Amino acid sequence: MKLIDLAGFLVYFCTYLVVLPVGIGTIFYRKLSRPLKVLYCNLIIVLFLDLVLLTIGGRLGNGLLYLFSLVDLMMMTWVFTSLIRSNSYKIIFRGSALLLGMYGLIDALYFSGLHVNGYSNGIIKLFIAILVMYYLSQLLLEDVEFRLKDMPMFWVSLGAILYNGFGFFDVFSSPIINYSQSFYLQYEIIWSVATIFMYIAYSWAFRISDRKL
Amino acid sequence: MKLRILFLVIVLTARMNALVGQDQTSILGSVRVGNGLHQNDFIQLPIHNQKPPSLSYDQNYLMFNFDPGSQGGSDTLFYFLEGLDYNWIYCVQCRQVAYSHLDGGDFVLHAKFGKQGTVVIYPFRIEGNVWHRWWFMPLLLLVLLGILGMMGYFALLYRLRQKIRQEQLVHREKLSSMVDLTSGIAHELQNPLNFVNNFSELSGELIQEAIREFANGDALEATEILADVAMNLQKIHEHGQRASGIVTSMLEHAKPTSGSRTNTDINKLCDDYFRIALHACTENGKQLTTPQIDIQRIVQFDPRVPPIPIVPQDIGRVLQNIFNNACYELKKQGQLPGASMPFIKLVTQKLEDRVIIRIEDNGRGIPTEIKDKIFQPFFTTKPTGQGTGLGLSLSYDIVKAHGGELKVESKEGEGTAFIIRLPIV
Repeated sequence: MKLIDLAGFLVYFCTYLVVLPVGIGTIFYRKLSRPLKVLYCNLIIVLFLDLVLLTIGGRLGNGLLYLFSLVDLMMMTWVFTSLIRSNSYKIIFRGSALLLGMYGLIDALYFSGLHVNGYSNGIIKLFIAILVMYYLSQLLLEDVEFRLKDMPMFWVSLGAILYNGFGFFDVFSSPIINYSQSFYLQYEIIWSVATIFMYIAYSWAFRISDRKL
Repeated sequence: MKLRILFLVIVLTARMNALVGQDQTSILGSVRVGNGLHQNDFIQLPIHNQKPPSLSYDQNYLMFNFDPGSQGGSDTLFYFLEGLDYNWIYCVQCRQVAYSHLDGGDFVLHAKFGKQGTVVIYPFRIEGNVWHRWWFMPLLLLVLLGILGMMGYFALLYRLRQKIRQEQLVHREKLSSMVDLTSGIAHELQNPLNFVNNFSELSGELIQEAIREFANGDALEATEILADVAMNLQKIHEHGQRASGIVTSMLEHAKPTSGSRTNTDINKLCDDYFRIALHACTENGKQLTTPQIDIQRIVQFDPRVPPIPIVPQDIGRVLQNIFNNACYELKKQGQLPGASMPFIKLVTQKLEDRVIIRIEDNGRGIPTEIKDKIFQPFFTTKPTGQGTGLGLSLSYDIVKAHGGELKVESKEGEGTAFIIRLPIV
């Protein structure tokens, strides 16, 4: 199997793997906590966009995805800040998310353009990764009475950190894509694996949401 | 010699010409370069330059157009890009060769028409990408350090979490053993208090009867009755003393652990905890709605066992854990059809330099595959919520801290024996 075939397969596979967490989330919807319900809605939107992209494709689709990254920023910020106990950090993260959202919009409309993965996209992903890391620190130090593997938000955090951590390297995607095809394909493969892991982690989080802690 | 030098100069000149193009480029019609994304962005490169062209990293899509010209004898184009291809590639009736997404580096295109055609050489360079910039490696190092730092930070947090968790579980284990202890003490106190209540009630009735006899003038009968009352009062006193003894003993055991060792009567300590554990076991049996079973209590105390310096609260906790486990196991076994009469046997023995405490039961025994794990922290065979898995692990640590040993002997289907060896210092 050539690298391009493997990368192509993984990119398609990870894109449509979103049906897994959406399916499991639908089954266990009643058991989901509020943050998990918001995350579930986020995944529904992703699935919907993927289907739209499949139909229309091209530059318009990329534009929609770009705009979705701003929606994703807001939703993920709400999911995690609603669980953060420190009020001051909550305000700082929400304020930063708003500023980043505006920056992303300006970047998309005036600088990078709607059809490419702009620098703001990578910065937004880095912000989400930092937010989730802060939440994970809280979870590790304060919610000690529960086992980590039984906590849905632990799995959500793991998936989000891995995906957004790798997503940050989108900042370099523009030079990479023009530099080396093989390197770009390798980057795509790693990104796909991170996405697959994230969806599996989300699915598992939905699955164990009925466990009584 | 002169002839040889002349030959070398001719050869070198021919090679230099070949390297920079000149006549040999005659079959190379044009070279166009772009980034492959937009067709309009392609630009034409000069093909007769003395110096090989240097292209930026994103100008890595090259299209070479050929014209057979003077080499028109053959229709087959052979080409080979040095720096990328390993072998000559050929195509029939084609005039264009394209290379896309070339990595940074030095390349030389070799091309000819027909196997015997003159080779055309076109060297060019593609500049490296971001990692050829001075700031890229420090940035990459910084990112890697950041990732490593983050992983280290979370590993540290995880260890801290485990420590806090372990402390909480130990605290829970202590609370749980306190519940067992309290239940056992309550039961142990209940017996003498029953005696006190019954005998005091009886004595009250006897005194009334004695008064009546005195009134009837039967002093002899009244005296006999009063003698019974005196005996009853003696029994009340004895049982009151027993209750008081239990409370005193338990208060001693319940003193906060100072870590300091005191000379302790091992036989008495074992006896106290054995009684309490058996009572707690029966009480819990009722609460858990498991069939109540009678557990036979067998004790063999060696009177030669001397007082030894231990922390009584700690060794008491070890004994309580082992007794509780034996009780739990015997209750479980009691639910099985055809189970034999359950017993717990407590034996103390003085050896030359140590004291042995052996606690044996005739339960189902410990399966061989988990025998090595029972002293591991958090290992439990009890259902979730019924055991922290720290009892035996803590017991092991406590006995070790006393310079002793805690061992287990078990045969599946026959029973289990825990042996505590404590040094006589």
